[in-house]
Amino acid sequence: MKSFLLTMTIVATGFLGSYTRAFAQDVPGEIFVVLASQTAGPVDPSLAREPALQQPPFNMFHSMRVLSRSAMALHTSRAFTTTLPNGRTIRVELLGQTPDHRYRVRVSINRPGQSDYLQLLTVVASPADPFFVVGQNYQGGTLVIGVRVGTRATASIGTSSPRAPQPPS
Amino acid sequence: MTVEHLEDEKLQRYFDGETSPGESTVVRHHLDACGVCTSRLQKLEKLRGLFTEMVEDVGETPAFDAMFANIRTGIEKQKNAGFGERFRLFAGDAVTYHRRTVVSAAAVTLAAAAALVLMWSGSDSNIPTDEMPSGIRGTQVEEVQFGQDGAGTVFQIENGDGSSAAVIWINDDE
Repeated sequence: MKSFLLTMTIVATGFLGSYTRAFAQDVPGEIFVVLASQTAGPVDPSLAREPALQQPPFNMFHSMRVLSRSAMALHTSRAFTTTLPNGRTIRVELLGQTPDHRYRVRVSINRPGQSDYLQLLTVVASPADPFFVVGQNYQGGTLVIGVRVGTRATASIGTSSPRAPQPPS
Repeated sequence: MTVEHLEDEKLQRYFDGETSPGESTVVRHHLDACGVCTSRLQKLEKLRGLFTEMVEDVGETPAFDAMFANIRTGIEKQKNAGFGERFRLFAGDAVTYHRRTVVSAAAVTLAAAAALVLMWSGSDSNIPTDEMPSGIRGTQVEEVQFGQDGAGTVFQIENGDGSSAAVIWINDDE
């Protein structure tokens, strides 16, 4: 019996040790907030590297302006929180990494003291590939929030610096 | 007057019927006059009776021919066995005699292998994107819960490079 317990302890230690090591470093990420409008106007050149925003239904917007870019340093032990232009708060939490090197993240958007706009969203994302939360009204337009986790250069955790935030154009 | 008793060896040979006729006559005359040696002879007879009874309880004579035939067959089988069969016999013996050690070693090996797999799958080492398996690019929604007053939809947009981006479009009443 003692031998069995010792063996199981070693097994558990092996699993936990490797799991903890997998998330020893921060995972870089980025949140960019775009104000899209059906009013004629320019499209921010930095959005040229976002092919999804050039596809329907985003092509109904005739102008897009990047309001902010925020670099994230995600870790399973702490969530990243930032305030959106409309006063709501977006919270991004790294849940873990899948066996195929994708990230599982949880996102919520709410305003303190009010009902949630987005109560819970769980996404599995390949490194550096974005997903979008769209629909909030702001200054006559619509907010498009892009979230990307990890970097394209590497497919694992904490291997490069996050992309430097760019000022709104 | 000192009485000389029969020697053990001579009494035993007489008991076994191995004494000559002259010796047998001498022994019989001594036994007629010596209670001690008569008692010794009776003990020998009693011992033989017990031995005979024990052999009868054992029953039939063991089938030695069949037993040796089985042993020869087993030896021939091992001689003709391949590597796998020999290893199985060896491993079987090892597991039989060292079961606890083998089980513990197997569990530790399994734990080490699992740890290595997890470390490999989630290690800090750089893994170029080009080496990632195909079909795992893009983003996908696993679960979504809109706010109490909200309504929305989830869909995918093709990026043009084979990947797709998840879009969560939520109505805003504000």
